[in-house]
Amino acid sequence: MDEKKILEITGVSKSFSGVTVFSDFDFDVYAGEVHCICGENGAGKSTFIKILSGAYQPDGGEIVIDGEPVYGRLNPALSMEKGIQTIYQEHTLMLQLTVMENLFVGKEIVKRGVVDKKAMYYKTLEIFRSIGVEDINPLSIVRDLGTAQQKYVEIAKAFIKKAKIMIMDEPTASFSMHEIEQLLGVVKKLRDSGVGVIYISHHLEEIFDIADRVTVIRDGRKINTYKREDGLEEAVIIKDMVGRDASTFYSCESTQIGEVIFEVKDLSGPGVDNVSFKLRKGEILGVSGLVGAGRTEMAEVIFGKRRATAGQVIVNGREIKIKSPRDAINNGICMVTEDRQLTGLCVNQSLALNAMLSHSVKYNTKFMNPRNDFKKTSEFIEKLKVKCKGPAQQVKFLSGGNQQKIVFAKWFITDGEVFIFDEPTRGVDVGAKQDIYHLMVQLCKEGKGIIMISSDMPEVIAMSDRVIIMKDGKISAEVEKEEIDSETILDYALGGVLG
Amino acid sequence: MNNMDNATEKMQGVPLKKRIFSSDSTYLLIGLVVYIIIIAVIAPNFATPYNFSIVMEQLAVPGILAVGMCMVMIAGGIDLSVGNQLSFIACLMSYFIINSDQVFPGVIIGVLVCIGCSTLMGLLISRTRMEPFIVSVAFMTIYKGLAYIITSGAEYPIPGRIGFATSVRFLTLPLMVYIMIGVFVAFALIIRFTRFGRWLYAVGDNAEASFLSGINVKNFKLKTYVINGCLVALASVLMLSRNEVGNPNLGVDLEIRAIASAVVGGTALAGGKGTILGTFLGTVWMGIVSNSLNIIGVSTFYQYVVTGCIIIGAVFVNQLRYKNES
Repeated sequence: MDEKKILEITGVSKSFSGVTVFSDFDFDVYAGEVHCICGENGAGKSTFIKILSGAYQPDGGEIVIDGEPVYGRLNPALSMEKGIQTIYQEHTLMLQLTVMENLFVGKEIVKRGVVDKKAMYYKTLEIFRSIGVEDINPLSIVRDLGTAQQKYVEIAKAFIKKAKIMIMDEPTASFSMHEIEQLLGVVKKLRDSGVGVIYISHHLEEIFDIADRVTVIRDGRKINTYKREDGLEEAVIIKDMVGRDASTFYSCESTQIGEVIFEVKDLSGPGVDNVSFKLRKGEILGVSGLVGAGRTEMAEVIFGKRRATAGQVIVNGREIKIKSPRDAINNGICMVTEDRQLTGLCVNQSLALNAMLSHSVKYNTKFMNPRNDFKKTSEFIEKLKVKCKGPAQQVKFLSGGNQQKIVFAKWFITDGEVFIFDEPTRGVDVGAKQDIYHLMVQLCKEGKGIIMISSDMPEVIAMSDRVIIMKDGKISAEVEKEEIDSETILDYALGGVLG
Repeated sequence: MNNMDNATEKMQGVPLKKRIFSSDSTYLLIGLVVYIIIIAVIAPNFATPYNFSIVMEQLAVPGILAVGMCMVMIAGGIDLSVGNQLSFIACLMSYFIINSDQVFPGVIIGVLVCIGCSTLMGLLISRTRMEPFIVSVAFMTIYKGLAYIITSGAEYPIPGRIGFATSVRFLTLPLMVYIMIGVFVAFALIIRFTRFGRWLYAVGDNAEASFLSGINVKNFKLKTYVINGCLVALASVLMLSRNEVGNPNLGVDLEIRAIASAVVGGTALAGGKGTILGTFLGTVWMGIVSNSLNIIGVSTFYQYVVTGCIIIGAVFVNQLRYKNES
């Protein structure tokens, strides 16, 4: 490792209208190292990014970039000029333009007043090669690329701006496993080329793979910094993150598994090909597979968002016809969608409105008293330990984990037999994750069946009673609890290449 | 507690003081009272019972249209055709009243045609991917043409046939004022106490999430346009009754006024936000402003300019408050 400190932060604080969200923070990055930051949602990670990228002015402390103190005059332009590039969680590319155009936007290579496309093309290829990405055509339209590829384009774009420090905020959200591996490879390349990488992630496996140092923050304070050479321990880091012992992280109590309550026979639809499986009372059926394997599509066909073209869905021994989500809900099927912001919640509305929404559909309650809505919602806020100001608060002011709990509350209030969870813990912090696992076990105890689609391997392994693995819209294997391990699952997900 | 949306004024357990000051409507009300006091000082004949009754009477039709517009807008739609629809329906009614020499059949036909037209528009908007803005602009032009076709560009006076809206009075106020207040109260109650009210905000905020929560979004959107059609029909009858003439220009600018009232009251064009109380105050604001300018003696031409500035001012203040929230 190069022993040159390119960023040093001492005693930085930030408060909003009297509330301190970030206090007395020390942090540094050397050239050519990966410094990971982990912490729960709301721990102050995004505040930190915004201070570094110049969007927020800190209230005190010193920031030194490359030996130059910049406190008090850091703004987004200066921050970029000093070589701090941020890869945000959400995409910031222009979707209609080509990869190449995105990379060179605002700084096109010009020869005699004309854009030199050829030079840009080769330069783009060169940059991709230098970060170890081979499979992107510079002339592709960004819209047509996958999520992971778009992320590489963003990284390349930052790289082109002579990044010295690259901040990556949850870069692997919605990545499949081999995409994550590939991205970590890119991060390593960046590190080796002398860039200081600040890597923010919920996923400890990723952090253990690439971190040279790990800093844990909680409630806007630095708890500890661990060095790789001194050893990184999962239990210690989780404990630092949540502020309590995390030995009971997965609540995998075994529950009584009963008779079959839900069955899918030869179900086909857009993206789904001849899928059959059974679900029993009190059982968690894990659904694994690579991104694009048809898992979400299968859930959407069952739930009536997509029309099934063939096959049967049987609830409690009775075949039902599902033409819309309404039919599914009326027949006791609930679905927590993959993206709570886009498809799960009305984020500008109150917790109470969101929580009571499906209930009012299922039980056909024409008249609703706000008093009752609030009472019912408060009950579930307490039960699910949602951190909020009350049932009248707007959903958008809640953190990711608490928003997810509101989605859960909606379906618990609605009640049903079969719960489909599509990535139930995506973008959710460790503490809320634990609560969510606990709730799933609770549901099983009440005799419900759970279909859990997840890309989080430890979660699938720990929580599932049985796992089905999908590939190309088909079920490629079914694995019983005793045989569940990551190698087996990955093997089937990739199509049995390992034999 | 400033992050409480006005859409959820109904917050039990929150201190009354905070509840009042967290609402958009409060600022509107304070502004209105201050404005009224200032004008009352400048112009002595402004704050009189007679003028009050005039203002209220002028407000009735725009108010009813504003309620419908507010509802459609909360659900994420918009209807730019209501002004011309009102002209068309009023002309249609007066045409039948004159030709059949009977009031009721003409009114009934007008009401049915009005609701039918809105249903057709609702079907087009909810069943296709066409933008409500574009569809309603098209309907606006169609209605305008139809109104001229029926009247051949002239007008159908029907004096003494259908004057109930202003001739029937209680406590010096004409009947149409009470009807308007009834509509406001009814919709405030509907929004607060029915599932329909909840769904308005849900669908307007996130139609996809609402669909996945089990709401039949297409039918629901259609429903909002049909109900809006009913309100337009009511407004048309009142307008005809007040003016006693079917004229293609009866409804000129009324859609803009309805949208302005809703927006001044805090309704968002993007959907999912707005209140009936706010819309009521917005309506009153618009009415008071034009009335007060008349009394002070400002010409109609300048009134347009002032009204436009007030809309921008109100929306700007709402934006500021919204920014403070986040």
